[in-house]
Amino acid sequence: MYQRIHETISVIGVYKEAAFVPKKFLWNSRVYRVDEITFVTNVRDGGVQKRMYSLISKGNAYRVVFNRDEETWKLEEVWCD
Amino acid sequence: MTEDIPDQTFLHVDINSYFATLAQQETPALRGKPVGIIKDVGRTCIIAASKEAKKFGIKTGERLKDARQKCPDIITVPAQFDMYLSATKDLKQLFTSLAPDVEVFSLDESFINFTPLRKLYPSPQEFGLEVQTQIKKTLGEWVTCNVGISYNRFLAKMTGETSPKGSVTEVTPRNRDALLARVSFADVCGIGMRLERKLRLLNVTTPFQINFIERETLLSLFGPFWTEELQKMARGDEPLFLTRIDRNPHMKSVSRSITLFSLSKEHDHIKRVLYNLATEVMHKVRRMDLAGRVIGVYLRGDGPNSWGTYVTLRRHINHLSEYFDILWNQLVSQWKEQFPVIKFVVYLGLLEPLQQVPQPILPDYWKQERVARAVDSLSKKYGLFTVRSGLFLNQEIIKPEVTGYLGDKLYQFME
Repeated sequence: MYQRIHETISVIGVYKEAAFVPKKFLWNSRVYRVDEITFVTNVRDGGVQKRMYSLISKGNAYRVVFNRDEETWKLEEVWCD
Repeated sequence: MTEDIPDQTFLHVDINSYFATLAQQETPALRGKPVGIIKDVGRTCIIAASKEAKKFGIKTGERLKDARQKCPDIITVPAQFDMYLSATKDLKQLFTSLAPDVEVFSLDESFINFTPLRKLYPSPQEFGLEVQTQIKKTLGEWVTCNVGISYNRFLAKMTGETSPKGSVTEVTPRNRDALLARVSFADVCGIGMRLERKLRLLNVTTPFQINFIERETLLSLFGPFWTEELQKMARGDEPLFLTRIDRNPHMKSVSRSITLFSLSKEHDHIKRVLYNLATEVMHKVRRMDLAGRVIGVYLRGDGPNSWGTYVTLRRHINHLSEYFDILWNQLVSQWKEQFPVIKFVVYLGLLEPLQQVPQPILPDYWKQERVARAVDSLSKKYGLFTVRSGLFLNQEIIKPEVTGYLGDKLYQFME
């Protein structure tokens, strides 16, 4: 089950084939390296566009959301067994 | 059509166990495990099951309690409707990049007309394999699909849905009858539970058996429409509902339903839920520049308790205030023997494009229209329910969600 976190994070990544690919994120002063992007979900509510990256870092699953209008990143949820 | 080269060739692409497969793709910890998708935390109905869960006999619509008896280790995961719709949009984009004639049939099913691609690929099977590869590249390695191929959509869908997971199968006039004699009517798209039960009483369980029944007998039992449809299916021809897909220039009706966690008997709560659903219906109708004149409501409680009614107006409406006023004050006021409600349905039908219906000249209408347009522009920019009724003050809002059938695809695929 995913547990809600909803905290602001910093993300660095690269552009590959015209799409942003997250490589690392900083949460609570700790750097998490992205090992795999398992899914990308585009969400649109009115004009507000968000992109949710489902990431794997050291075997743990995270949902990281980029608000395309505000250009902000949030760690939304973490998978807990 | 000749025996070897049919006039047309269609592919039916069906993603295996869509909701559960996407959950497993997103979260590797779920892969290879029995997963049941529930609508939300605390819900007790399995709305989709992974292929591993299906091996335990768990089916869509099953109660969680029953599923746990079959498979105590089943992992329940809340649905992610945004994810399913996003993936379907990605699939649509993929298919339209591969072929010029694509029809998204439901959230997890599409038809691709292979006919214009005959010179590009050695065979439809090769194209089917290419589609499977591209889907994995687009959505992820865990996502598999069935591809059914035939000279019409009915047979392509039938073979795709009844073949092993991840397969590419083709039906030609040579092996068509074998398929029609093998597939159970319960698995035939367009045949509802009641019709299937009625057919079973005649010892008819497969489409091919219809060929053995006299037309007069069919007419007396099923009437002219279903006689025609059943005979088409028995021959492997496309029934009416498949020939009509994606031919509608606009939606004919918009509805919204919700099943709550528990029974609601509080008058204000029932009103709020209905207003919530009506807001979403009218938002979609206005977004598509439509107006409707059939207003309906249906409420269901526990056991046999249910009530519903509708009204057909003389003119089309497209304002939420008027829509809800009729819904609540004309229709729900007729609900005499009230009972606690768990399921709510509202709809607006007989929709027509706004330009094709006469618009009132009354100043009141245009006053409402100016307000509605202001709300529309705010909703368009900031999202639905940004501007909302005071009824929702400090209350949870029921947000829009997609259904597996994707009945509102014309709305969902609007730019």
